[in-house]
Amino acid sequence: MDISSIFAAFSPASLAVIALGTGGGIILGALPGLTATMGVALLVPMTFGMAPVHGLSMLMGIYVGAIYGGCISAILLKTPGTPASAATTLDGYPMAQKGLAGKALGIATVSSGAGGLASAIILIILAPYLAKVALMFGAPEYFALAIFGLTIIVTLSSNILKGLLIGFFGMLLSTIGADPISGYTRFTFGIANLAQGISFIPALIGLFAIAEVFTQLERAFKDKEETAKVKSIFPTLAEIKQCFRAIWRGSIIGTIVGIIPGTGTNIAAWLSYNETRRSSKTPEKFGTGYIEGVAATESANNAVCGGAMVPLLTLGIPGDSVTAVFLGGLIIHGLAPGPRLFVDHPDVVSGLFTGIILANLFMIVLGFVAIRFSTQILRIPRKMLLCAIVIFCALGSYAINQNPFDLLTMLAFGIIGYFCQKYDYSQSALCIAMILGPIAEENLRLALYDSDMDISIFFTRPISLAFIVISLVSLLLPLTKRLKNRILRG
Amino acid sequence: MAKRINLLIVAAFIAIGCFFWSISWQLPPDDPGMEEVGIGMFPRFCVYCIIGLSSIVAFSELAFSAQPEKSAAKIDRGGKARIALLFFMLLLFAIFFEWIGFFPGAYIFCFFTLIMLGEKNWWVRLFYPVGLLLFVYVVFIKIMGITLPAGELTDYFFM
Repeated sequence: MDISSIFAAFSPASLAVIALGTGGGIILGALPGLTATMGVALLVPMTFGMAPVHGLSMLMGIYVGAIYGGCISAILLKTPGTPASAATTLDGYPMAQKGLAGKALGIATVSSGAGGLASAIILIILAPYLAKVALMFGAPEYFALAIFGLTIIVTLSSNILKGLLIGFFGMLLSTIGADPISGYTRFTFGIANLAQGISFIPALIGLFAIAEVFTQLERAFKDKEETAKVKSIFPTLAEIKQCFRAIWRGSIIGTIVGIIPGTGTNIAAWLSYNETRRSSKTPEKFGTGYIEGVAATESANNAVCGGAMVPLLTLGIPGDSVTAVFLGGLIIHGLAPGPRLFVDHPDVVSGLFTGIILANLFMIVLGFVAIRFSTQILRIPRKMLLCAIVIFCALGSYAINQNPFDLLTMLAFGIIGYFCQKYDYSQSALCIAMILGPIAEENLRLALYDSDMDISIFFTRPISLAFIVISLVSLLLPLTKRLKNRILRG
Repeated sequence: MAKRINLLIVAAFIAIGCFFWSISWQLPPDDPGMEEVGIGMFPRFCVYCIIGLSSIVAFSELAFSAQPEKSAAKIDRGGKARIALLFFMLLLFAIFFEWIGFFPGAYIFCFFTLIMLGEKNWWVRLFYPVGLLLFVYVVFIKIMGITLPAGELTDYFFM
């Protein structure tokens, strides 16, 4: 650990940006329809002028804040602000109906903070060891890892075939521009702006933020939401003690689920809820406004944040859409995620780890402040918000390269993202394929050069073989399951 | 309708794939002895997968057509028109903002976007964009030092 960068994370400027990011994330997460991915995508270009540690810690703050913020509308409106908080509505909303909205929000804040801190500690302990193992990887392993990363994301799409299709389309798009080995430009169609490939940040702003604006525009606006009244927000020591096991279990489940690429906050929250209910002495109380239900889901979904950073930082493989966008943040600061990050930039890694801890601490403090103003946050007019988001999208896309062509890229990917959302093609698969495409291509070709075109190189090395087998199994298992179901239904 | 659009999307994937495939053969090989591992290999591999998967998706779309349209909550009738309008406004903004300047362009864009979103209050229509752009100016230009185009039109009138 680099001690000086840990101290640097406590500088006033660093604390200010982390607090700003976390606060912004909470507001964004609280508003239904605005996701953590959108928040991080919007902010990535804004961190361009900052020191890498400040910028990345701010993005982490947004991530942590938005995942937590989702519980505010889940509890007060029965509408989860982010998909991560869908399970929180089960007990959070009934609590609000009983006049215990403040209590539910309070325990959600404490649980989220505890889950986030636990996963950050596990990340700090685990990541350097995993990075050391990953340093032994060669070209065949990296190719297999890229394929593994993509298939895991694809298997979680609601339609696996469409997920695979959009994944390969993303890989094809990633071949536009300079070839990673020879530098020869391909598929630019005479457009000079494509010589360096499709600009990644404008593309992901389009995919996640503009597409979301388009989707929001399609729905009827409902500006004034009826919310429950919020009173006595601080949980008592007895309540925390009662929820301790649920929080502990949720933190472990969330971290493990986060580490597995392609899973995510939603799955962690449901798993933790089911597991807590299963092991409870009073399972019948779950779903009726039981405080342990809220603690189980909220600790798990925030624990995913730290866990999801493990594959990203150690292997360079984003586990979900937020970490894929976070990877964009690393790229614009000239940092290549993966095991070399720990060797080449230990200061950034240490600073980021400290930033994650600080973001979670800020989340607890700002969370309690946000609860006080939760009804006002939920009343922010949607029209004004959408207008501001579009301006920030345009600003963010332009700011990185000062190139108006990037605005057109953003718009094109906005349309692609909108159709993806509407017709069941996974945006995350497209985004991750665009990231993994160059890694897969370069390592596939290098491995084939080294082995004189012998493809058995991918099957004779144990790590590469393991990744390929897991990829195949994770792809074929759900497909055969669906086929079996279809046959059984006749 | 959804089925037809799904088939159109699949057709678009195949068309794009074929286009890339035809161009990929014009790319030079890295090494005269290793044509198979050349610049065009990976794009061609992706195209083959795209065409294969598109065919399966199209077949399942035709064979199992019972898939109902996604039930998005409260779809508004004017929704599609709003999307088209925002798209064209963004397109115009992207094309002309370097010429008009970021701030005048963004003001006009915000003003019309608010009207399009159904904002009825004239004070909000006129002054919300001013407040928003003031925030952008202070945070992004003054604090973060991001350069935004002043615009040829602004230069012409004010310089």
